[in-house]
Amino acid sequence: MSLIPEGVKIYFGENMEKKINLEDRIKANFKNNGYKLIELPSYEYYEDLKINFSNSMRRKMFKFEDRETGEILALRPDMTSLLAKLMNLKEKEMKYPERIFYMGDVFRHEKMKERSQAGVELIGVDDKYKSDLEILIMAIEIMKSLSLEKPMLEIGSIIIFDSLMKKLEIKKEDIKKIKGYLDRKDIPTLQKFVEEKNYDSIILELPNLVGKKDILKKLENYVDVKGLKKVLNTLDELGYDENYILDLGMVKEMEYYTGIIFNGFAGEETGEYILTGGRYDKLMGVRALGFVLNIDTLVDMVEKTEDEENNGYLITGKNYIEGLKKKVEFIREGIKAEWYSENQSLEKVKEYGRLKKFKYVLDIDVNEKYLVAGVDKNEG
Amino acid sequence: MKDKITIALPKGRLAELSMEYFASKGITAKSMNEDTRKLVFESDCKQYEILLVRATDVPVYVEHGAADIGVVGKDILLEYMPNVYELKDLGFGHCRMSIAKPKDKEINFDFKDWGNLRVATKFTNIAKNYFKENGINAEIIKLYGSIELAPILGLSDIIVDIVSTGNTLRENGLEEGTTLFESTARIIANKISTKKNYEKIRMLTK
Repeated sequence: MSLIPEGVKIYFGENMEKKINLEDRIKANFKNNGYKLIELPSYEYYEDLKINFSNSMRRKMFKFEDRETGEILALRPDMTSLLAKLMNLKEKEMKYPERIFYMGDVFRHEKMKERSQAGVELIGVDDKYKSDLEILIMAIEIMKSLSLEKPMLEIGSIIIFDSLMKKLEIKKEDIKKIKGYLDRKDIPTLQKFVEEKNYDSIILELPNLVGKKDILKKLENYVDVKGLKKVLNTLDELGYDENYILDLGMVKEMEYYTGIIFNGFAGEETGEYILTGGRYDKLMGVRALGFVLNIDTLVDMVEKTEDEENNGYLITGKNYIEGLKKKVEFIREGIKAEWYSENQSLEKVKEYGRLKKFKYVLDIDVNEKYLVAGVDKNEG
Repeated sequence: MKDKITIALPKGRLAELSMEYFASKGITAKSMNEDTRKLVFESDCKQYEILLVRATDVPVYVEHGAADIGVVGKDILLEYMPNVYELKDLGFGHCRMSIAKPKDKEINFDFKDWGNLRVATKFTNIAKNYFKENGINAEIIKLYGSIELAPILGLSDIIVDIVSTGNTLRENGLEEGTTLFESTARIIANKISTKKNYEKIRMLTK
């Protein structure tokens, strides 16, 4: 078989360099914020995963059988649900608050079937206001630190939506439908539905409640919006007022969200969100929220990384054993070195050396080094 | 960052009707009447860019952000389920998705007695979902045009297709049965663009 299966990705060369650089910066940022790296299993019991997901997400999971027990397993469709299970299992060992981050691939039957992610989870902070702010600010700041143009979060709230549905006494099966219409801001169908069911017309306002925080006023008479308002006030006070837009008609595909929800975008990228996140207190059994970065989209967006400076030695010559010894010596000293194995003219060797970012070509037979790039400090 | 709003329209009659609508919002493009081979036009006010593409491609352009908004029939949205916002029903481009059978064939539209029903259609997802939801075992045959021919030549028992006047069906000896849904043109919008250009897009869809 010479075909590559659909939906997978390969990183090599320039793209790989960009991805490594990006992940290094993200990792450093998360660490500086006090978060610890966790590595999670690649697959999990489907039975344990599916409780967190709607039918459409369940269908998107890659499932296979556990040979020993016959149980169904699934490749991780996201990281948060895996972490939640772990938290519940190790509840006694946890010392809250926990600040955890992860990096790795998730798998879903979508256009891109494997996706690289990096995300943070802030678990066990009782103060919703302070933990909302910590995560929102981290989300904006990480986009800023990657030098993305005009980083923005769209912010909504599932708790405001849920309270509104409760207040208006909307039937459970209808809430599901309304959520579906809101997710697509399908205003014509929503209008038909609300009129048919004779529900309060405030629901029709939801898809258009997009803008600055004054739109909260529209819902004030129905539900308590003070929590969200307080968070937004502080964001404004800290100078982030240009970095978010409210969308009170926002809902999420993942069903485990219980509070604030948000997505991030920047620059001219309008096909994919850069990051997505929210609060999911019920999932973890304690207060928890976080966000995840879409690494594949970011790799396409960030500028090519600064070329590393030429360094190290490309060793050539007829005396292979001497060359090999020299190479090992360099590597032990922490200097980049490679043995050039082809029989070629010195010019060809130099050309390859430049391509591979070496500073010198070393001819081991005569023990002479030739500068191939940059300036030789020792010789002036 | 680009400030121009890009509008994707389906070539043909719907584009004309859409431009009549957008004219009511102050967007006109005289160049559209001049050159019929061009596919990209600038509005007279220079703030909008208008693309003419195939109807089924409109949601693709919008979903991927190559266009900020677009106009497309609800039938196409239901078939392809793109990840976009559907902000407004424009009320024109009216048609319906219907089942039709050859007039001279005894077929009851509840398909109770059928073991395996062969259905020819362009709209395979819509057809698949309809028969699945109604517990009918159907084999869906995808065609790209002249769907009416399929039952006449025995390729299928029935068809699922878009009907506007019903003339084409009648001329080909077909009889219209169940209507799956009615469709009109919608304004769709890219999710991220909607947040970035909220006021402009709101103005266009009010």
